[in-house]
Parts: sequence; structure tokens; C-alpha cells
Amino acid sequence: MDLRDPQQLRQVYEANSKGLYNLAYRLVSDRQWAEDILQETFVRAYTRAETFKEGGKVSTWLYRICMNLAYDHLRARRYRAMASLDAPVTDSGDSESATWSATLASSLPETTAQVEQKDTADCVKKLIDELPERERTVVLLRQYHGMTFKDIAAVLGLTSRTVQNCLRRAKGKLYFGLKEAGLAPADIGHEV
Amino acid sequence: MRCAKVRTLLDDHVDGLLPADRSGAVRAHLDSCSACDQEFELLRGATAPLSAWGDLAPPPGCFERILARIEALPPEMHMPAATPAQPSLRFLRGGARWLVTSGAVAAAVLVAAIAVERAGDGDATKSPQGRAERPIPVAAGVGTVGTGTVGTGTVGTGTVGTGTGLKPGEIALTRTRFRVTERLERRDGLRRRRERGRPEIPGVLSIPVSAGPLGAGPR
Repeated sequence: MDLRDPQQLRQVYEANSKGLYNLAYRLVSDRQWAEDILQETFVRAYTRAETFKEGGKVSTWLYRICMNLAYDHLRARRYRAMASLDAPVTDSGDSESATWSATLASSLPETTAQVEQKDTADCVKKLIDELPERERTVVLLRQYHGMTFKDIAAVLGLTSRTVQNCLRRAKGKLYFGLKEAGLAPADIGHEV
Repeated sequence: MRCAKVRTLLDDHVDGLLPADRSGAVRAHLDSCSACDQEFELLRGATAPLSAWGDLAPPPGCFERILARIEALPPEMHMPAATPAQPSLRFLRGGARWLVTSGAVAAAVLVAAIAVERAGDGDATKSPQGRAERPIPVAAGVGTVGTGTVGTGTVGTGTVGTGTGLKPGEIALTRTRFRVTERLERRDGLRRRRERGRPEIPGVLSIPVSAGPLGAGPR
């Protein structure tokens, strides 16, 4: 696999771009940033093609690059939010809040009552956003990219057992969030 | 099938990733075990709504923009990265890496100690009896170790210890340097190996990495 060859790069793009774009979008919640991350993923794959280990899965390698870029972006965004809580939100994305302080306030636990709208997708999105970084990534890679525990473990540098435990914890949190929003059956009451 | 085994398979069962026979076995267990069935329902309850968050298609023309960004890269970014001139030790496991590193440090200590001793030893060099009592290693062997060839396989080919009755890879030490030997032996576990029957040579330091390829020496 030579990613410096435009034909092969195109093939890899066709096979992985949708998954990578959606992973980036689900992590950063912004279409423009998701596209930037997708582009940067392939530019990095091109410039660092020699670091790809022959015999490995190119998709796993790309997902890892994409995930790291997305988290770098999130950390930078969090830093900017800390630096200026009242500055206007400059993202061209889907956020409805006008300032960072409003954005942060809208994600505080006491306003999760707003989650109780019947728009399931928004509810799911918010619940997944509230998960810790690692659990969120595991849920996304498993549920939306159909990865096995082994593949997720390769992307995240964890063991399969850790990934499975992570997913189980995340599902427990999601279940109770969904139940609170009336989107999951309420007759199951025990903790995972 | 036991509960512990079923619980490891529940995620794959919920996501429909189990083969039919195993899925049937899990279903049979769930019918008879309420605790596992409750966990299965919880996982299913948390999984089903997730499909509501649908996929997006990447924006059109994205690949062309990627190509444009690649073309705009500086020329050196289009070249494969050069192979590093000096091989990295990162491929070695922790123990082997430590051996190579400690071998180099031990060699440096030896060279420094010999240099100090020779500097203040004018009379001893004039006395034939004094020279005969002391198992000083040959200078060529010490020089080989000190130039950084420890770990590359060249030490142990007979240059070190030649003529002093030592085995390849062994360096004779004077009493003043014996503390270094003991510390290295303790950390390397060589003391245990010696207790298992290896003949003891007083004042001899065996450098484990010297007798074979990198990392082949005893830990």
C-alpha cells in the first residue's frame, strides 16, 4: 500500500472517507471542522506514509489519525473557551449558543432536562457528547463504524477487554440517560 | 453456557455479530437466567436509539481539495522520510535496551577508571612483580568497548580478554572496580546464574550483550 500514489490514495479515500468524516463530525459536532479534519487526515497519511506498518489495516491507521486530530481540535477549542468565555462563538457549526459561556451553560447537568425532547437523534448526540473521551470514542467506533473490539483496541492502543468494559460502562450511562428522556424501556432498573 | 461467558458475548449478540450457533446458545441461556436477560435488555435499550443519529456524506469535492493541499506542500514533504543514520533502540524491549545502555555506561566507567589508574601508577609500571599480580585487561579490548561498539556484536569476538585466560566477552577488573561488577551482577540477575553452577572468576565482569546479537544476552 503506497499512499503517495494518487490512485491508491483515491481508493483509500473512497473506502474510508464516509466513516472518517462521520467520526470527525460526531466528535467535534461541526461539519466544517469535520471536513478539515478529514482533509488533514489524508494529508498526514500522505506525508507520513512511511509510518504505516505493512500488514496492518489502513483503515485502523486512518481512524487513529482522525481521532487524534479531532481530539486535538477539541482540546484547542476547550482552551480557547477557557481563554475567553464571553467571546463570540466563531465556529460555523451547528451550535445554537451565541457565546462560549452559553455553550458551556447549555451542557451543564442541570439543563439536561432540555434533553427530554422527543428528537431522538439530538438526545443521543447530547448523551454521547457527555461521555468521557475514551467511552465516547468506543461507542462511536462500535455503533457507527461496526468495528470489532480488536479493531477498536488497535485504534485506541488498548486491550480488547478494556474496550469491552469501556463500552459496557458507556452503555449503562446511555441507558439511564435515554430512560430519563423516555427513549428507553423503563422497567430495567439495575446498574451495569 | 455459563453467565460469565454469556456476558462477554452479550455485546456481540446485541449487535448481531455472533454466528448463529453461538447466538442460539446465548438466547437459550437468556431464557433461563433472569440476571443475564436483564443485562441484555439494558444493552439493547441503550443500543437501539443510537441508530437514530444517522450518517452524513462527506462534502463533494473534498478529495480534490485534499489533492490541492498535497500539491501545495513543500517539496521535502513529498519525499519519503530518510532512514535515520543511527539505528534506534526503540525496537528493543525494556530489558534488552537496558543491557545495551548499561553496557555502554560500564564501558565508559572502565575506560575512565583505567585512565585514572594509569595516570597515578608510574612506579608500578616499572616493577615486573607488581604488573604480574594485577589482572588488568588489554588496552585494545577496553578501547573497543569504550568506543561504543558494545551491543553491535563486535565485543566478544576475542579481542576483549585475549591472553588473560578469560572467555570472550569478559573483562578483567581490578579490585577498585569490583563494586561496579557487583552492582551490575545484582541488577542483571547474573548472581543467580552464577549460583546455578557457573564457575566464579574473581574480579571478572561479564557483559551479557557481548556474546551474541542485540538483546540475546541474559536478562
